[in-house]
Amino acid sequence: MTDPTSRMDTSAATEFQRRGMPRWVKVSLLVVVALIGVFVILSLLGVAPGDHGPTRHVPGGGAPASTAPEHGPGMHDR
Amino acid sequence: MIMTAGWRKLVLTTHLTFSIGWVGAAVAYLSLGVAAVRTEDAQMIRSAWIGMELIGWFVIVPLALASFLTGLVMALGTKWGLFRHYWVIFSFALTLFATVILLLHMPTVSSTTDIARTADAATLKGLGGDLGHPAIGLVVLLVVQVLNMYKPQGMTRYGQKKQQRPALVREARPERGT
Repeated sequence: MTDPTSRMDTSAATEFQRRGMPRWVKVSLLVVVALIGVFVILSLLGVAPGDHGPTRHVPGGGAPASTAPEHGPGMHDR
Repeated sequence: MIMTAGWRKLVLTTHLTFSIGWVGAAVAYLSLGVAAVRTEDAQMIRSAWIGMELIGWFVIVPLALASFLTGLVMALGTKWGLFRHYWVIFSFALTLFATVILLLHMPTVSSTTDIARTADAATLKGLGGDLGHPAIGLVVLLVVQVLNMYKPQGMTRYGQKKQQRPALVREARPERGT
């Protein structure tokens, strides 16, 4: 990929940078938001990969104290 | 504070060593996870989980923390800064995310390994492996590597202000002298 600022003089390059957030940042943020959204929806539906609820990483996992061990057989990928 | 060229090279070498080591260790962990999923041999599953726990706590966690800290030093000790360029912010956030998930996931690996140590063959076959975390972790690490190598353009407002300030000072100095 060519650098669009390479053919500009210094002031034009500076002006180019001042335009605000570059496209790659906007696209990346959209991808991150979409991934978080998909993850949250799957978790709420209970179909997250590997039974991966949002509280799984929290000590205790929000589960009753009697459900030991915290990470029982079959919770990982098969 | 900007590091001298000598210090910068030393910290950069250290940071690259830890970061590449982290990727390599994650691949090793993933290979054990795949082995645990694919094999029918109960002893292999037990060994794989014990191996994953050892690699996780004694290789991946130290490398991740060292990579995170040396990356922080690199950002703060060079002209790039931590919040001046979008690629640095993304790289920092992804590394922090990977490190936090790793630290939260490892106790789970330990508890599964504890089960694997004493479980019978049927239970061991039910344990499966650990593919999701290392696979996603590797993707995140590779994205960070690409960002750090290509350094895509884009400066934050904070970075632009920081860049303008020295120029304004330079312009103001001759006026003061006259």
